[in-house]
Amino acid sequence: MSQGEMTPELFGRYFAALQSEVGKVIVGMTGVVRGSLAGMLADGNILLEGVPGLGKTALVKTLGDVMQLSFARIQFTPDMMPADITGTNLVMEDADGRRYFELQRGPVFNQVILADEINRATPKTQSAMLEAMQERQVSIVGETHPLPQPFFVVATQNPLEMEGTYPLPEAQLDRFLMKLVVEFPDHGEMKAILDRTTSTRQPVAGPVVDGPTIEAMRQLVRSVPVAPVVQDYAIRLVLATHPEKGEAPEVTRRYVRYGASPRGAQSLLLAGKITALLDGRFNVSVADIRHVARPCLRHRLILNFEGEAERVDTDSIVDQIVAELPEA
Amino acid sequence: MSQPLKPLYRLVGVAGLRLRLARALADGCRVLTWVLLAIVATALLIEVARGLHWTTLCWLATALLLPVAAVVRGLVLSPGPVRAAKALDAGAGLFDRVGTALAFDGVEGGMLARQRTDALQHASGVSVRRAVPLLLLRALRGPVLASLLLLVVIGLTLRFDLQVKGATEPPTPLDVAGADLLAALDEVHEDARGRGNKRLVHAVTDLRDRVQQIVDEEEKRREETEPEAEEPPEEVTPPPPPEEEFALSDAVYTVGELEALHTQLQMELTAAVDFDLEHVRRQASDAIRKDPSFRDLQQELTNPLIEDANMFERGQDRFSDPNDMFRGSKNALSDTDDGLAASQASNISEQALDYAKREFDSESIMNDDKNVAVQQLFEQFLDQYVAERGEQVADWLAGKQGGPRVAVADDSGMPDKRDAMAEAGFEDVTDAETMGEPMTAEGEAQLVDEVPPGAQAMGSGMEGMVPQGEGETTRGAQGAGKGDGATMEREQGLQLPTSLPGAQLEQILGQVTDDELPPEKRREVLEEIATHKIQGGLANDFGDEQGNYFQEADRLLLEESGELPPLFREYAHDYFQLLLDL
Repeated sequence: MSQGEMTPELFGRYFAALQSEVGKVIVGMTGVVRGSLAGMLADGNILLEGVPGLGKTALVKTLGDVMQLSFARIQFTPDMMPADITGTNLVMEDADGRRYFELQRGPVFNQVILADEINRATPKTQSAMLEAMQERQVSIVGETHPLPQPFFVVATQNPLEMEGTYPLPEAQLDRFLMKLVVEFPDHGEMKAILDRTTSTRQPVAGPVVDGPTIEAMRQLVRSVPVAPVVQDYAIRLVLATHPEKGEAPEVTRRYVRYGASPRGAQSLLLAGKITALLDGRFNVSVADIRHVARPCLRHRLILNFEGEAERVDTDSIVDQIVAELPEA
Repeated sequence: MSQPLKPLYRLVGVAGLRLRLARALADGCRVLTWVLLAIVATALLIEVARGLHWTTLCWLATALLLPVAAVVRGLVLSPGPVRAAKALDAGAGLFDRVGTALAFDGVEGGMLARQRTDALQHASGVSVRRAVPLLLLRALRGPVLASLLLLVVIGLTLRFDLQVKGATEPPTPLDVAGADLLAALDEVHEDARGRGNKRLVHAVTDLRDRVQQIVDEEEKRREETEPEAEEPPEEVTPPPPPEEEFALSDAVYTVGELEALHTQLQMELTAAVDFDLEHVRRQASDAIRKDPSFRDLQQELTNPLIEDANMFERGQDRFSDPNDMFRGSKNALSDTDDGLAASQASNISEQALDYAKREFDSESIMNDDKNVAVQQLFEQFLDQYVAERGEQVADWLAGKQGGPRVAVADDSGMPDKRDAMAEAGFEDVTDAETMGEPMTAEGEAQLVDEVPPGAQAMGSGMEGMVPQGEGETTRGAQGAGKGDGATMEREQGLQLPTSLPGAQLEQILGQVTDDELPPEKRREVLEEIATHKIQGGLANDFGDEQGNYFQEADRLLLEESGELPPLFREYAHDYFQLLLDL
């Protein structure tokens, strides 16, 4: 399937098929699944936050299955080194006995990467993911190696166990297109999970799209027009997260130390485009921006001391900013 | 403008017009809100019903023009297609389809063609009237309603205020006079209380309560007869009617009518103020006279007068000189140093004069009181009271033994107290031969100066000295001195009891200094003087002694001011003042 054949209608159908196929394995988590798919189609990375046992790993593995993409799971630990992620050159010996260096690729050389509990690794190891997430390439001993496309990183972190963890640096957080919060399943979802995972029949997700299709979908997403008024709204929304800016409301001035970067505005527009496409429109509206404001901005706000002391939720700050920001 | 998007532009144009109109209305309402609030504030500040002025009208007219200007401004200024498209998208739920299509009009590629088609399709059934309504902004409804409500309240208040102000009369002179009379009585009350005269305090308090009651009754009567207030009192002749009358009605007055009415009322007030004042004076005077409290006060003031008159009468029986009643044991000249006594007496006399001046000087009252009408009323009250009391006392005294009168004895204008005393029934004290029983030093030790034996012996042979029995000195013998007979007579009549020691001492010292005494006698006299056995000062001039006497009299008047009735004090003060002037 080439890029020229991809239409918004087809995009919608593929997306629905992907959701449906993932839903065979993953119970509930509709928003997370939709957000993850949107993040992948927007050529972004996703940060999942939730307690252990909610199916985060299963979700990511299923995403790789339905997209027919190679999948790798990296369990981050404090003693993990960057080479454990990127790989390293090993001294090899051929049949003639001559020795040579051969790149031993790390797990990052896969298309779908699950960085499980990424906050348990040291900042040095965490930073090894920066280049892969942003540039889609890794540098090993001065040699740059492109990563296979499409490349997609899904990181998880446990919000409860903070002891022995290294909070993600702001630069790395900014690389994530969206941060999705995995909620605990309710009674019905729990029952469905038990039914699916404790019987003899294990649900299996079949492939829906392949890599080229995903690339075509990504190109279609980027072709969605954004009116200047909407773009202006997204810019003002990002600026409103900075306490020193004039657009900042009182809640920003009070609790936020530093706001979203321009990547935040990019995330808003890209996620908004996917939302518009999924809504059957060919343009982004302010409503789309508002819809994706939470997942796109919540991890980009750095609270000040007062915000940390009062345990202010960044979601509430984003909501208040959106509520107070006029459309035009 | 591309041809395919023409319907969108038309929709946006209509939406722009409606948006313009809506914004104009919103701006107008917003400005109107502030203007109404400003009008309310202005009305409250300047009390519209009382102080409407052409400048205020200009301000109100200008303020009311502001909303119109805001509407015109909103209609003139175009919101622009982007803003209109935004309003259309938001109002019709088009999710920025129209705005996006217009923004990328003429641009090809990507998804834009699909987007334009989608926008045209969705905008085709859009009702611009629903999408851009001309309703007031919801946020403005509250202020607008509140302002209108306030305006209604102000209107009702103005109407009520005009009616009330038309029915309410300004304070009458009687109100002013009553208030000021109460204030004057309060001052008298404070003064009396400061002086410790409880009877007078009680009497003034009663009178004040009665006056307050009269004022309250007058107010109550006026309130009860308010519907009939159009009829003037019987005794009051209404001022000439103005050329044009503005009968108060339910209708709201115009500014011109209010100004004319104000001018007319001022003219009426000016014309009637004198008449009303005189009327009020009569009313107040009559009311006070008829009041029992006033009678009590009169009685309180009269009783001491009668008592003093009785005392005066008793004094006549015991003294040949009525001024002796002021002397008594308080005569400083008899037992203290003359200079010190004279100084103290002078100070006290000055205080007494100041007090008398404050109390009786009409000019002081004029300066102190705020209201001239009340001043005159109070003066009239005092004059009438004093005149009546004076006449009563005079009649009373005349009916018994004749009142005290001051007569001029000779051409010098010097009042001859002997004549006055004679008219009052007193005996002439200058003639020792006509005296009855001589006063003994034992019986009236406080009134007769002590004379040392030596001095008495030395003076036994002097001119003018009339010894009366053994070891006794009569008052009639104290008139000895230098000068002609008339002067001596006046001295005898006026100040002999006081000047006798001085005269004796003068003679004695004169003899001492002139070496008329033998040396042993002179030494004895000097020793007596040094040991203060001979008391009294050096020989005093008649004028000094007379002044001291007057000052001492004033001091006594001041000390006994709480006991002496004002009439008698005034009489005595005037008498002595006349003597001083002479």
